[in-house]
Amino acid sequence: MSGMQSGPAGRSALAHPSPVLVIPALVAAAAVSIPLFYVCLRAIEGGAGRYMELVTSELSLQLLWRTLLLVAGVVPLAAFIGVSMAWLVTRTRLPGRRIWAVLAALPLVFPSYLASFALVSMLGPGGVLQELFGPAAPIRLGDLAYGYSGALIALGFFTYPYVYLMSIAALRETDQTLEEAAQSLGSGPWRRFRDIVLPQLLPAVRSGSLLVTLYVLSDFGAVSIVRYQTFTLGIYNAYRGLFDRSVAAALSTVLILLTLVFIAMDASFRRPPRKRTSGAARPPLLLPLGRWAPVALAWSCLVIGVGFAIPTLTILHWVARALEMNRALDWSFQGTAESVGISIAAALTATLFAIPVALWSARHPSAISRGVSRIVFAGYALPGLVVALALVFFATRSMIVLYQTLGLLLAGYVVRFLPESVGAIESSAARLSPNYELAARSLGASRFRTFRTITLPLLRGGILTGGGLVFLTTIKELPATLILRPSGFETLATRIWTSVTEAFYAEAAIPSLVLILVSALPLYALVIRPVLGSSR
Amino acid sequence: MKHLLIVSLLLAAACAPEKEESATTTAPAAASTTLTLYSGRNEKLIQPLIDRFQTATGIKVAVRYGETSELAATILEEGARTPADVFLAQDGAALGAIEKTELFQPLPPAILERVEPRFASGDGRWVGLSGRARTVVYSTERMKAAELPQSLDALGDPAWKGRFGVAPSNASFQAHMAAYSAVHGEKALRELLRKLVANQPKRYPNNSSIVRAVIAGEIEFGLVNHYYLWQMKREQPEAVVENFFMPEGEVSSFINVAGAGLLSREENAVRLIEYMLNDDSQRYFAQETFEYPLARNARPSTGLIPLGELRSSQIGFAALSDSLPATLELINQSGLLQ
Amino acid sequence: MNNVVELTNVEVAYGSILAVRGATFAVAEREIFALLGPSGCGKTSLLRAIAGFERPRRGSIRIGDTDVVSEGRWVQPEKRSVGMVFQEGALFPHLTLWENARYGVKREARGEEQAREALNLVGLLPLKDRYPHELSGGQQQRAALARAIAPRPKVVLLDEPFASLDPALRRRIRDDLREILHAARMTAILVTHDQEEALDLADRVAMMDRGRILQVGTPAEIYDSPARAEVAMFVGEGECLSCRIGTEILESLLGPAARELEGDAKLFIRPEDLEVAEEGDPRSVPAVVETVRFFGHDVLHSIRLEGADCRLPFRTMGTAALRRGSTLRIRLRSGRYGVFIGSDESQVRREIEVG
Repeated sequence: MSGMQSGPAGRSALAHPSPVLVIPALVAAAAVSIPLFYVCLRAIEGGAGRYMELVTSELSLQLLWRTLLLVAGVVPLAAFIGVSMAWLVTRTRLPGRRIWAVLAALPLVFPSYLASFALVSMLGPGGVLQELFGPAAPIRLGDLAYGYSGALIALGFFTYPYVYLMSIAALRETDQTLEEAAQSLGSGPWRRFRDIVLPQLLPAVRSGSLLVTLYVLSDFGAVSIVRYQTFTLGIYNAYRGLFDRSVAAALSTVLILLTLVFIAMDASFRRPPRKRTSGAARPPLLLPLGRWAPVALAWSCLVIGVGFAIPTLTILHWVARALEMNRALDWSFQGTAESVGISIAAALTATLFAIPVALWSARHPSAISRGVSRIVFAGYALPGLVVALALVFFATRSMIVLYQTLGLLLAGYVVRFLPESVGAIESSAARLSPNYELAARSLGASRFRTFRTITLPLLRGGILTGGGLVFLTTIKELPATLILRPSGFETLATRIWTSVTEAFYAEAAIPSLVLILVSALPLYALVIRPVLGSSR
Repeated sequence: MKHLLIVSLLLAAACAPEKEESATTTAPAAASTTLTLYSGRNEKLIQPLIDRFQTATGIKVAVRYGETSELAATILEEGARTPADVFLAQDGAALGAIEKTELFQPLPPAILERVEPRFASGDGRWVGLSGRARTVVYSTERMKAAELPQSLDALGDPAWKGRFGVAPSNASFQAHMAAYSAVHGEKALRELLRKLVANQPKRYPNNSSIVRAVIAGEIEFGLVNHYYLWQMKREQPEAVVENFFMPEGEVSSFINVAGAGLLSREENAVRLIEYMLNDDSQRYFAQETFEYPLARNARPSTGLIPLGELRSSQIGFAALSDSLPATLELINQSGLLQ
Repeated sequence: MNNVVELTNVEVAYGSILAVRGATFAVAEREIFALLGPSGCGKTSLLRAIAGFERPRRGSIRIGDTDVVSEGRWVQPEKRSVGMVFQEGALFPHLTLWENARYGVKREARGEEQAREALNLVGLLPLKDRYPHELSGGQQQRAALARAIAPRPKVVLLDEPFASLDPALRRRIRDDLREILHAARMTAILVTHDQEEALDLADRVAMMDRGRILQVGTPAEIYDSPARAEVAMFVGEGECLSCRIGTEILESLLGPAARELEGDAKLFIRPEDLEVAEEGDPRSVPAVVETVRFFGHDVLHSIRLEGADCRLPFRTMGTAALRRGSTLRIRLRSGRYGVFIGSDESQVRREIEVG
């Protein structure tokens, strides 16, 4: 009874965290916050008047409006697709629901630039559709692929898996007896869904929607390809097209602020929903769809068709063309190796910093350790483009030796994706009783030996998951890579990007295929399988 | 833990850019340093020439590709600490902008002498390598030359709404607008941009995608540099597209240069610029990219209208670079990029 | 006998919350010493302070010949030579039983021998290659004990070692534990909130409440002569009878001894102190049976004294129970009774003789 609850929050005298934890954690926090400081510095370099002028300029207001418009469109779309698919595969007798369940998570494998380019090149003029139908192709359909509608489709159909996966996790946690009680009180399936299921789903939908929002705010690839200028693209255009970089910096500060506002609106964004703790693992009631079955199937086909089939077929089509043109091997081993190498390096570096941050906040909770953890998490919300610009400003001003080195690129990845690793390690540290470490200490093990033989092996799951997620997101990362990479360094992402913007489909083929294959495995093992589970 | 650290360090080291290694293994051993080149010119067009240079000299070149304006801004941000040795721009105005900051090293007279003075900086800080003219590319199936807009101003006519394409983030377009501004004034440019935006042209990331779009029938015509047509014709000889040099307006068929400036005192950097002006390279520009070679003795590809016959204003690049920053702001504010 | 552990005025605090105040006691060699008290009384904090997981704000702790905590001195847990057994065992889940047992001993033949002996002692040597999750709850606790004693610490600290076991198992493991500790000639400090466990297992018990040690003594002393009302109430069944209920009832119950009692005195009565009185016995009072709890070998009643708002526990042996709602007369057996006078801080205990 008293074992765990004796001291408040299980704190102990060992709560003097070792400098081995504190120093790397502080470095990580500094790595996130210092560049942001430089963005602000650069933004007001031209004077406060000029800054205000830039921030309130027509361009800035237009970017704000267009960005909000996109968020307002994509979030409900993604939420609707995500919730409907989650409900269909967990609660109804949708034919083949197990297969749909996996398929519906797969759009995550496509980076947004690739997905939207696939859509454009499938539907757009000169695209696959036109190739197949000749001049008779419905060009009108192609117009849909660009601008607001294009951004809406591309982002909506490729970000809904965030809502989908969180909804599934929540649906499996919901208390089945509530639904049974409602049923025994005579409420039909739709009323049950509205009154019982939906309220229990709301937290998951909210967290998922916030992830979608952050994705939309930071997306660079999709909006560039469909030519819908949001804040990120506006910043990029200002960065590329103006000699005066304070414009890009000023616009960045607005985007940072906008992001913070959205996060403040949902303070829960840090914590994924908890895993089910109680038993009651009874299979849920499966609703027969009856005459609605064809509608449900058609909807699933549309979702998976746009989100998975189109990009897959497009890439395969490119591959076929590349093989025809004997261009398939133009780009193969070197770039892949560099891409995989830098992603592994990012995963390892992130892990090295994530362990101290996570252990400090999980084992020695205090205002400082929580603050550090929160600052580190803020990096996740920052668009990659802004992080990259921030690091460029920082390096050119104060750390020129780092400028245009792999080190700075690595720093960019770590700042951006460290939270994935910290989150995974923190949650596995939270599940782990501190008594294991105390037991080791009282058996005569030093701090280091305890860490090496007890803490590290027991956190292995979290460390691997976190590292895998960092790898996955790094290998797909585009805007920060474009800006921070050393001259002559190319990743799969930048290679695809260059080919895609030059409209050399065939050249994008093999890198795209490789990128997707390389990321599919960790995605399945780390994200899809844990949520969908093996028991179903 | 220790192992992790070591492995990650090794990996980081292993990922260092050595992309050009395969190209240089057969080359004679040479200077160990790697040149850093900022290229605002398209990778497709320029990388083959750089590969030749690496093979011929054994000097490694790490290239950072980007938009000319982006790289110019990067150099301005970096100042004297820029890691770049050479800046290759597809726009004389951007070169002029760097020249003003005195970041460029003076070029040796031997290099400058190879090019007519009007295609190089007055101070000898940068040199033109190839020339290009602004033109309208159109589909002869859909349009006749006489029906096309006869000047930049005519593009503002609402009749063309939604029918043509531009590449507003591309330096060639930006320089074209800067030339318009230098001749007609900022106010006139603002008006032209307003009309262009109102006409809702299709936006493309670069010239080659405009030519593709014209061939695909996505648009009827587009504003490009003259040589993309010729490259495309080599790939698709059956394509029925042509260039049209707008006859009216002082800068409608504006002639620009792609050129280079020195950002370091690196000996090999001079060699790279020299190399791009030698006969082989100039022939490359003429025969492979279909630009106008600028070395005095080089000849353009047959079939191109000689440079001298194109109607273009005599504004110098110095004036052009003066109007460039404001032009970029105007383009950015105009909404053309959206 | 030498003292293995000595605490002097130990005070443990979390921020402004004082968890342990002025704890002073000594544990002799090979003694089993229990810290007993309700949850939140500070007993675990005190145990963790001895282990080195908490840093006392004040006071000193001596283990063997070493001052592990004193003015300006603090010895890390791994240097204290203490073995710790946690409530849920805390066996390292990624190591086998053998690797767990070997964790704290030197990596040499003698260490290995110690680990083997410890496993043998707890009877788990045949299972040494299993992982913790392959052991039953009782086996896990024994394994945790083996791991703790393998390095031959000066003292073994046990933090509610039976709390996670089911009641039937608990008693058996308790017997095992006593035997093992004796066989290993170990000194042990045990934390528990279960008085039965403490009285059964410990040579001496320190009763704690709200951060304070109220009494240290043998189980018999604690039970028979509780130093304070809180101790009396916590250990075994019993109720305090306030002397404010009226002189009439008091005199009927106690006879002449009632005159010795002041107003705020409380008389402590255990269930076995009461008996049914003969009709007409002058030293008896009428009472009503309110609740009846049947335990098999005995029955525990709660009875209300008539004319007073006061309930007392009353045990009868065997299976014969009184009926709920029935009335009877009860009397106090003769003997010595504890009386607690005064309130919290300044409480004193006196004894009275009931004839």
